[in-house]
Amino acid sequence: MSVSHETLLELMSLADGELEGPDKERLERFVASDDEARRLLATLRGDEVGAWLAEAMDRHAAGAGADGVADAVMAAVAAASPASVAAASNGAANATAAARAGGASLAQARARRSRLQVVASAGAAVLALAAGVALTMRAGSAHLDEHAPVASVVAPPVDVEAPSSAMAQQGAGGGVEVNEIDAPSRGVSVFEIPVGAAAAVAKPSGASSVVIWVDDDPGSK
Amino acid sequence: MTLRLFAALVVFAVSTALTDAGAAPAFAAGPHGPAIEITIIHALQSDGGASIDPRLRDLPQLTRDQPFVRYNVYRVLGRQALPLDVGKPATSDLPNGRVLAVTLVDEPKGAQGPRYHVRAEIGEPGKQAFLKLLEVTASGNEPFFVGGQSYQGGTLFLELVVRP
Repeated sequence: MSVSHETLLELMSLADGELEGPDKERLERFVASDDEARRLLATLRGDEVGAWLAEAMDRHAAGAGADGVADAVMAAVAAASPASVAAASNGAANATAAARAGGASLAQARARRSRLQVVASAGAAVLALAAGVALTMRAGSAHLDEHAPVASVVAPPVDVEAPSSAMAQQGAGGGVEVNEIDAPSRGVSVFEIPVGAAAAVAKPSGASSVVIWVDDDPGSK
Repeated sequence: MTLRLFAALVVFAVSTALTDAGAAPAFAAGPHGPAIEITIIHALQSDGGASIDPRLRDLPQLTRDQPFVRYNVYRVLGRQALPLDVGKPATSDLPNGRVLAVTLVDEPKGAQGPRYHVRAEIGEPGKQAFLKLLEVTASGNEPFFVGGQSYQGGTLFLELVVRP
């Protein structure tokens, strides 16, 4: 092999897309001019390296006696609970199969990781959007629920006997001002709600309010 | 699997937004300009005991005094907010068949901020108007009441508030 260890590491970085700028350009030029480097890069980017890795790992594990450890653990579990043995065996088999399938192709693994990142980003964006919408709507609705506090009646009501008369009732602190009332043939009363002690606490502006009472027909509704 | 996860996230996000939208009032004043919030209250005198709709959280202070002292049961029949534009009546159907129309006349400047000069009318098709004209000037979030309409053994109170 004419490719040095350092170059091999750089080729792996290039295959993983981790090189940028001048280093990437330099290595690409080298790959274009060197057949072995080109072949190595193709191998690193392809499925073969996944199979080679899986085989190498299995060999290494067998040499280290990992299979014996697994058998010992399984025997201990079997002694503790026969029912759990089946589940453990299934889990071990599934895990082994998944590990082999996962090691089959680095390219596929990269693609899956990339897709997961895209989905996670999109999910986060959607959740942020929903939270924003919810907060906006809450903020918009909050002040509609705020009722201006009203005071207890302290002063007697002001009766308006002439229904069509113009009148002006202004409460303390520039509250509600009744400019005009016209209710022909009906009795009209205006109950002023001036500032009381309770309202003064709840509504420091000191405004007042009114109730305009219009007599209805006796038999109406 | 990833597509299912993504779809579940979208469904969750949309349902969250719709749930909050459903809890919100029909119209939120603010960037759209002032709105008139109308609350229709049915008041009754009952021997069965007093009760006040929890949505009328400020009303208990008033029930000791006229004209509220005449009744001991208060129920909210409806609440809505309608956008107010100068010269354009905003109408609301009342449960007794009458129609309330509220018009923003102008917005005079007050010492403590903007004021709202509104005109209200309560009429019924083919009949003499119950309230031909009522003109009131109030600050934002300052309620006033129109009472007296007979309804199902009691009376209707209309609480009107301009929301800036």
